Amino acid sequence: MNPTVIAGLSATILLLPILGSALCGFLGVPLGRRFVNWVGTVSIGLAFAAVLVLLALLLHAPQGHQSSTVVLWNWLSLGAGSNLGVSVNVTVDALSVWMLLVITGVGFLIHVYSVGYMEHDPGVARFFSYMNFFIFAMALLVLAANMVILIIGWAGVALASYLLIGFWHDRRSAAVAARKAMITQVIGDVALVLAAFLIFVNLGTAPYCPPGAHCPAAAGGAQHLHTLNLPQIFAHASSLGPNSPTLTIICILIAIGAFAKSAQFPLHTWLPDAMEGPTPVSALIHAATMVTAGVYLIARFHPLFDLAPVAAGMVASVGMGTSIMAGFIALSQTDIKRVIAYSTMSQIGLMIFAVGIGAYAAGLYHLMIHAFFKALLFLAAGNVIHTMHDEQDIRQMGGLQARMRITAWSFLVGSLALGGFLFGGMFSKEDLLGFGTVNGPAAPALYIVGVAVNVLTGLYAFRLYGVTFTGEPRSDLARHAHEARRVMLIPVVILAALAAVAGWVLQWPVTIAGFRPAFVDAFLNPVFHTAVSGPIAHEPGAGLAGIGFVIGTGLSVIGIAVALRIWVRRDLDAPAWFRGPILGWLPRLSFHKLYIDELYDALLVRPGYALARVLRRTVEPEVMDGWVRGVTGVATDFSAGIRSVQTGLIRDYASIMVFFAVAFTVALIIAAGLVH
Amino acid sequence: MFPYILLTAGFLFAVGVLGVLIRRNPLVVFMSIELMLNAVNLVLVGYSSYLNSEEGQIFAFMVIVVAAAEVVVGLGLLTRVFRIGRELDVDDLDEMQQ
Amino acid sequence: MNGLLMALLILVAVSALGVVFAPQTIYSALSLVVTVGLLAVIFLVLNAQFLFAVQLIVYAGAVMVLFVFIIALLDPASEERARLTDPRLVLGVLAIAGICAAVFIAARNGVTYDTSCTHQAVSCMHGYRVGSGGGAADPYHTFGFPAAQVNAAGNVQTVANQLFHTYVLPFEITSLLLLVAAIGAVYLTRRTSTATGRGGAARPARPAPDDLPRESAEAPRETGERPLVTGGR
Repeated sequence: MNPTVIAGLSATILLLPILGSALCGFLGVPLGRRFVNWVGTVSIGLAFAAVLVLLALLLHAPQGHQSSTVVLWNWLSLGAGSNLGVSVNVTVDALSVWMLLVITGVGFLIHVYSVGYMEHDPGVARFFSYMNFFIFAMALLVLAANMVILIIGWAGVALASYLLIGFWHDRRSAAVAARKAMITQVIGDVALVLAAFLIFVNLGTAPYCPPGAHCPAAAGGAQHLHTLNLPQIFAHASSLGPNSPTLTIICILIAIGAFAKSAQFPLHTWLPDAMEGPTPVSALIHAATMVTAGVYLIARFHPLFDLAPVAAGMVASVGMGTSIMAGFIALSQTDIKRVIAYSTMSQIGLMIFAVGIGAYAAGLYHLMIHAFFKALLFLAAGNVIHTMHDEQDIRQMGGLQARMRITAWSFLVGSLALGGFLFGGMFSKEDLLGFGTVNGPAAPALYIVGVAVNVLTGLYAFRLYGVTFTGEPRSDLARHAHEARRVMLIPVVILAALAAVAGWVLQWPVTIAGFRPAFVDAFLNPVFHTAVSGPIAHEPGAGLAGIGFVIGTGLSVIGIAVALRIWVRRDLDAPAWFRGPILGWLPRLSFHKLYIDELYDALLVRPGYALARVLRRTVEPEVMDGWVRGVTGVATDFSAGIRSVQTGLIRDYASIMVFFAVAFTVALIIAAGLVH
Repeated sequence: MFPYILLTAGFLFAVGVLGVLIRRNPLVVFMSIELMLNAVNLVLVGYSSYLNSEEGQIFAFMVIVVAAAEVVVGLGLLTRVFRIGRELDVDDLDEMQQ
Repeated sequence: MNGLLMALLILVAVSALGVVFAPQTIYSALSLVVTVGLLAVIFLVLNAQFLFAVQLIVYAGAVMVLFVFIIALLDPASEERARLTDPRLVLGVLAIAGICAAVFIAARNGVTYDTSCTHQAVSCMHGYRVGSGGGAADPYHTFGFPAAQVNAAGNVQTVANQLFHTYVLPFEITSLLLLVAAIGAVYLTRRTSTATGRGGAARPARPAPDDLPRESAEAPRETGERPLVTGGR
C-alpha cells in the first residue's frame, strides 16, 4: 500500500470530523439548523467514504503487506538523532479499518437519525459539534500507532461522552450522570497512563537493535528505544519473557482502562446513568462505538496479552461475570434505555471474554454485529421516546406495535439479533462462545456461564419487546403514539437490514455440509497471527463447534420462548413464582442493580465525605490557614518595617541613589588597590 | 591636561548631583541635570581628543539631542503641574508615597 | 594653549557652582548660560568645532531660551537657602568629594578600559586595566592634537562622515525621539476645557485623600469646583 495514499486517507478521516465539529461549533448558531444538519452529517459520510477506499486498498494489498504504519508528522522531537519523542503516526490494518467501518458507518447513520431526533432542540449546533468531535477522537483512538496519541484519543472520547451525557445540562440528573461517567473514565485513563509509563520503562527503553543496523552482542552496542510507538513495543514484548510479572501488571492496567471504558465490573455503574444523554448519543457512544473501545484496546495490545495469560484469564473472567450480572439486572429494569444499556454491558462482557481468551476475531465480529443491532435498538427506542414525549418508562407504554409498525418490526429484528435467533447474534455470539469450549481459564466453565447468559438475553430482550410493543396501551401518550419521520426511520431500517443480513453473509460459527463463510476470520486473523504475537485461541473442532452452537442457540430460543409466553401471550405468570418470601429477594436484587451503587456509596462516597468534613473542620483552619497566615504575617511585618523609606520625596530617593552610587565607586577604587 | 578635564567633568557632575539633592525648585533641578549631562559631554569630547577619535563627539552629539528632548518634555510637565494649581516644589509632589 | 584650557576649566567649575547656589532661579539660568558657553569654548579648544557650534546653538540658543521663557511664565519664588545641617547637603558635598577623589585617583593611576583584560590579575579588575594609559606618555602635560588630520579633512567633515555613514541609524532615531518629545510637549501643555476633564493630562486635580490637605485646599483654583474632600478636621 502506498504510504502517501494511506497517510492522506487517514488524515482525511481524522480531519473531516474535526472540521465538521469546528464548523458546527463556531458557525452553527449564526448559520442555522440547515447548515448544521448538512455539515454534521456530510462530514461523517465523507469520512465513511474514505474508510471504504481504505478497505478497498486493504483488500487488494498483497499478502503480508496488509498493515501499514505511516508517520503523519513528528509532534515532539526530543533531541536530534535519538528516538526519544512522540510522532503522530497511524496504523492502517484490518483491525483499525474494521473499527473505522463501525465508527463512521454506524456513526453516519446515527448522525442522519439525529437530524430528525434533534429537530426541536435549540442546541443542535452544539450537539453536532460534540458528535463530530466524538467521531474524530474515536478515529484517532483506533488509528493511533503511538501510545501517547492513543491516550489522547482515549481521553477525547471520554470528553465527548461527558459533554454529550450532560448535553441537557440544566437537568441535574444529567449533570450528575456526566460527572459520574467522567470520574469513572478517569480511573481508567490513569490506569492506562500508568501502563504507558511501565511500558516506556520496561519495553520502551530496553536495548533494541533496529532492523538492518549492526548491533554487537554486547549490551553497549544495542540502542535504546525510548519510544511509545506500538509496533516497536510489540516487537520487543517477548524480551520480558512469558509470564513476566511486569507484563502481567501492564496488561492488568490496560485491562482496567478497558473496563472503565467498556463498563465492566467493577467500573460499570456509569453506563446506565449515561442514558441521561440524548438517545442518538446512547446509540453511538454508549452502544456502538465508545464502550467497545475497551475490546479494541485489548485486541490492539494482543501481543502483550498473549504473553500474559494470567491477565488475559482475569479479563475473560471479568467479562463473563459482567455479562451475566448485567443480564440479570436487565431483567427487572423499567426504563427502556436502561434495559438496553444493561444488555450492552452484557454483550460487551461477552466481547471482553472473547478477547480475554484470545478469540480476537470472534470478539470483533460480535463488536460489529452488536453495533448494528444495538444501534438499531437504541434508535428504535429513540423513536418510541420521541413519540412518547420523552417518557422512558416501559410501564407507560404497550401496544405500540399497531401505531409504529416499521419501528416495531425493526425492534423485533434487533431483539432477535440480540437474543441470538435467526439474525446477527446467532452467528457472532455463538462464534465467540464456541471458542469458550476449549479456551480460557478452566474451560469450559466460562462457556457454561455464557450459555446461561443466552437464556437471560432472550428473556430480557423479549420482555422489553413485549412490554413496549404488545398488549394494550397503558397511558394516553401510548394511545396517541405515531410513527416517526422518514429521516428517523431510514437509518433504523438500514440498521435492521444490516443486523438481519450481516451474520448470514460474513461468518458462520458452524460448518454445514462443508460450507462455512468465514470472511471475518480471513480479514482479521492476519493482524493477530504475526511474528510478534504469541499463541492465540485454538479453533474448536467442527463437531464441538456444532454441539456448542446447538446448545447455545437452543438456550437462546428457550429464553425467547419463555419471554414470549410471559410478556406477549401472557399465559405464563412466571414472575409470580418470585413474589413469595423464599425467592422474593431475587427480583429485588435485580431491580436494585445488585445494590452496587449503594455499596460504592457506603464504601467510597460516605467515607470520602466524612474525611472531607474532618479536614475542613480541623486541618484546614488550623494547619493550612495557620501557615498561610504565618507567611503573610512575616511579609506584613517586614514591609511595615521598610515602608518608612518610602517618603514620596524625589530628593530622598535621589539621595539614596547617589549615596550608593558614590559608595560603589569609592569601593571600586579601594578594591582596585588604587589607594596606597 | 587630560586628567584635569576629567577632574573638571567629575566636579561638574557632582555639583549637578548636589543641585538635585538640595534644591526644591524643579526648574533648578532641571538645570542641575543639564549640568550633569554637560559634564558627561565634556568627558566624551575630552576622550575624543585624547584618543584621536571622532566617536566621542558623535555620542556627545546624541547626548545633546536627548538633553534637548528631555528639557522640552520636562518643562512641559512643569507647565502642566503649574496649571493644575500646584506649587513648583519637588517636596510638594510626593504622590509616589501612596 | 594649556593655560587657556586650565583657565576655562576653572571658570566652568565656578559658574557651575553659581547654577546650584544662586538664590533666584533666573540667576541659576544665567549661570547655566555661562557654563554651557564656556563648555562650548572648551570643545573648540579640544578640537571639536562641530560640537562647539551645536553646543552654542542648541544649549545657549534653544534650551536656555526655553528655560528663561518658562521662568518668565511661571515666575517661581526664590527659595530659602538650604541649611548647613541638611543631610542632603552633607551627602551632596560628600558626593562631590568622593567623585572628584575617585576621578583624580583613577586618572593619576591611568585607569583605562581594556577589553582584553578579563582575567583576574592584580592590575586587572572587571575589564579595567590599571597603569598603562592608551594615550600620551605624560597625560598631565601633553595633549594630542592631530593637526595633520585636522588640516587634511577638517573636523566637521570627519564628524559628518561618521554621523552619516557609520551612525546613520542612531542619527535617524534621534529625529524620532525629538518628534516624540515635541508631540509630548504639545499634549502636556495644550489647553483643554476643565469642565469635562477629558483625557489623562487634562483631568482636574484629583480628589485628595484625607492626609493631603494642601492639595484639597488648592484644587479649586483651577477647576472652579469644590473639592470632593474638604477635610472635616
